[in-house]
Amino acid sequence: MEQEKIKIPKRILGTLLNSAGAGVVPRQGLEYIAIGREEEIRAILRDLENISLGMGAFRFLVGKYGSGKSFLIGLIRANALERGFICADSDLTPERRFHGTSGQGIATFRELMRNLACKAMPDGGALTAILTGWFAALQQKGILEEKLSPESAELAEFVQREIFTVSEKLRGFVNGFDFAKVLNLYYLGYKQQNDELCEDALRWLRGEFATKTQARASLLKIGTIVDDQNWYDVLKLYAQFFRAIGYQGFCIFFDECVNLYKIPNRISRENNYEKILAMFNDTMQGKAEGVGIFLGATPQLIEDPRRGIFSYEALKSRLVPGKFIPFGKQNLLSPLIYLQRLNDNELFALCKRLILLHSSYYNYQPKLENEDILAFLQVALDKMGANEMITPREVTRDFLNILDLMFTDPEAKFTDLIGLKMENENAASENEEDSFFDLSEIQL
Amino acid sequence: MEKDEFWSVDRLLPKIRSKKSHDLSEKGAEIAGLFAAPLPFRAGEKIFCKNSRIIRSYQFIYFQNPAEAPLEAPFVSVLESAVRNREKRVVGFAEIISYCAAMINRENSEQAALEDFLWLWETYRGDFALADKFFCDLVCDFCLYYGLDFPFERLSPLLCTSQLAVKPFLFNLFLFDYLFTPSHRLNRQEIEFILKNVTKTGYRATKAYHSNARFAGLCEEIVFQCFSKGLMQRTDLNENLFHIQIPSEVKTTRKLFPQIPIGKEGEVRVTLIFIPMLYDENIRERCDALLRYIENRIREMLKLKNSLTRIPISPLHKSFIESILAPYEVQTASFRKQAEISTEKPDFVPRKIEVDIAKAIDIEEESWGVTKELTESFLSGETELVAIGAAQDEEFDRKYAAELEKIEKPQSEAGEIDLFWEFAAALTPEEERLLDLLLYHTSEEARAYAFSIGQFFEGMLAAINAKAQDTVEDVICSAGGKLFEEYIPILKTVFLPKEGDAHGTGKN
Repeated sequence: MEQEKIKIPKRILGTLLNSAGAGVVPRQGLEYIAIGREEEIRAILRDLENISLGMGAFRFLVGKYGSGKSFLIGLIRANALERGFICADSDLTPERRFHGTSGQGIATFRELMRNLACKAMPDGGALTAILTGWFAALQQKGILEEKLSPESAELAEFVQREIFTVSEKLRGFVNGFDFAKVLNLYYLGYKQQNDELCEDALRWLRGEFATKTQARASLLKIGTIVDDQNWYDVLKLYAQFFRAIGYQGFCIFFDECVNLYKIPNRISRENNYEKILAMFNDTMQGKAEGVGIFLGATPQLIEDPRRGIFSYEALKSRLVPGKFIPFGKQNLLSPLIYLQRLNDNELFALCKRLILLHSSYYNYQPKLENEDILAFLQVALDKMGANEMITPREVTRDFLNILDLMFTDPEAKFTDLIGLKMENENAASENEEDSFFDLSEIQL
Repeated sequence: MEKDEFWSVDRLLPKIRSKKSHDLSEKGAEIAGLFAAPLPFRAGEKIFCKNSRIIRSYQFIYFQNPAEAPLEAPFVSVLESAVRNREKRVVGFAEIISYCAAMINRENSEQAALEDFLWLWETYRGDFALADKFFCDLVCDFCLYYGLDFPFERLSPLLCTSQLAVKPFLFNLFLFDYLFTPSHRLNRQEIEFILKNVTKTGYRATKAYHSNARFAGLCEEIVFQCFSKGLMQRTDLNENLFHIQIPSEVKTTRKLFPQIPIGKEGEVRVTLIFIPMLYDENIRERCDALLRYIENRIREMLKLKNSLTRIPISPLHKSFIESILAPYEVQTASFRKQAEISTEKPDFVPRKIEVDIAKAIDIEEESWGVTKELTESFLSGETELVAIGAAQDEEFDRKYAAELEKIEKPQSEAGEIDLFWEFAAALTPEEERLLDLLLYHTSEEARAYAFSIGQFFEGMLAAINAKAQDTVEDVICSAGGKLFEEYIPILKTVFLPKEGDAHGTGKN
């Protein structure tokens, strides 16, 4: 039976292989190596559906370094973009937190705005595209429905009216009125080819005014700004705005949340945890409509009773798994999703997929047999603690490196590359059932 | 080793190294003052005032004119007979002081008087808190005064167990003339005394001592063994232990019998010259080094993680301590082995990988379903079937044909161009013109063009990218309007320059 084929753009495949080979998560193409996380992915896809219906979602993706948190975040982000969501992501760092006394909060907001992405602009910097796309749609509406001339002043007035009509829905939010005013000024600036006004409006929207005085002195003449205190409220405002102009919702991703755990000062750490609590409450209680917040965290950040999130009782009582969850099972509908180690079959499947993608990209005939993949996995597991600690990142990186080497040096032998010397190299090929090599046959 | 030999190599106490304290006056400490003269009481002394009126009147009269003593049986005589018979009477401490004052002047029976003092000390130390200090000073001064041997052996339990601050010169004699005599075997009390006075390492104050009973027990036992078997009595020890700058001599004047009410004219003062070893920090540090070494070795034996700062000690001491530790080490190792057997973890055995290849291949195939699900929104159910571009050889087909059925070769340029034609067909004339300007002109010109037609440049770019996503399955330009390098050749193939443009534009 003829099957549907998956089309993988060369640019995306190249980026995917390069990034994965270097041990980092690529921005695009992750869905082509999405193996072994079906349950988690489906749980989060359900979240996206809920967000598009106006609900909120809040998830911690918990796993060790290299377990696939960033991968899963990238995967959800890419999928959310395809589904018509606006996405913004930021890696937390010592300079970018949820709360801080030196502008760490607003720095996070600026990073989110810098990485704002939509389907047409998946690499970030999509704020102007989103706004102008909306203005264009409003103009189109004016021309088609109101029969206004494209060059007429009435069209501009119509667009402005529409902007304020949408903005009416935002009045209840912090800075809602000023937000609408800035959008209108941005439109006017564009129509008048006033680059300075456009730039000031964008600066305001991206939270780049350091002081209210600066904002007042600008062409906007607005006395409020996005600052450390209100940046999260403005994010909720954005979410409402995006939904009002036709997007499915707003997904916000925070990776490397372990940086919160590393804050040495207890009070500062707890202030950040309080912000997480506010996010949790807003999304789960329906106060933040159409917002999905996804955080990548290590088990240490979550569970450490002294410095972790569980040290903050208000969050602990909300996040701690229920007592009726059997050992070894997890509730994928709970806010915490623990990423388990991929099992051997899934690792094998991942390697197999990598061979396919690599050979497709470089257009060569794969030489590796199933037994070679098994030997590679055995070597990967053949070290203390690997059974629990081995991560997809390591497997992917090491395996792609071997594939790269074998491609660039056709004489290179796989067994030499993985540091093995089979005593009986041909023994494996005699019978597939016997192809599982025995450790006694291997000399390190 | 003989005692004399021991001392002959000792440079510790050049002035008072004699084994007899009465030699102090000849060889070391110079004693000056009255010798064996009667010591009249003085009425003004505080302790004397505490005596009862009867005793006071007796003492005054007796000492001034014994014949006129008012009592038939003088108090001193009563106590004297009780002491002589070693009978404990209920008396006040003032009576004891009065008696002792009388005994000091007893001529030609100094040794008997000393014995009496010692008996009194031992007998009444439990009854009076002041007894230890009073008798210690008394006996010390009495021995100095009459040139008697200080009875260290007899007094050792008293000195070691009392809270007395031993006089420095007496401490020197006690420590080096008695405790460190090679023939002497230290008992536990004496070891405690040395640890208290000569070291500052409190192994009993450590966390391990209180949390680990085995560590505490071994510390007590091994430290006792080391000291009782002569750790600090070895000749080389003294050379090594005090291989430091010996403190300079101290000259001090001491008033004898300070607590006895003696008339001013009868005061006796002696001048003592000695080396103040008791307060010397270097000596303490050297002693600490030994103790620390012992404690660290015990920690090693018990595999405790923490250890104390190590201070080097001589090889001879090391071998001595090791000889003491050896049996304990064997015992501890055996104990530890037994403990480890019960909690022993198996050696690391690499887990053999367990892959069900058929199942793994199923997983890999099913994951395409997830991939499809994740990309379904932009496939929109209009996915075209695209033939695999390159012909493959038989071996390749055999291994991977089935899998590759699911994946399009990205190098399939013919198919790719088809997609771009599809993309070009989806564009509006304005978008096509904008793309044309981006391809062959500059983004500024493209921006100006967008404005000229009343459109937004970024909005148009977003629309173009969205259409590219739907057809080519990738965006073709960045937010600023920069076309991706990978797609420029194929875009130029599809969108040829138009007539009228600077480069001669014209839609292909």
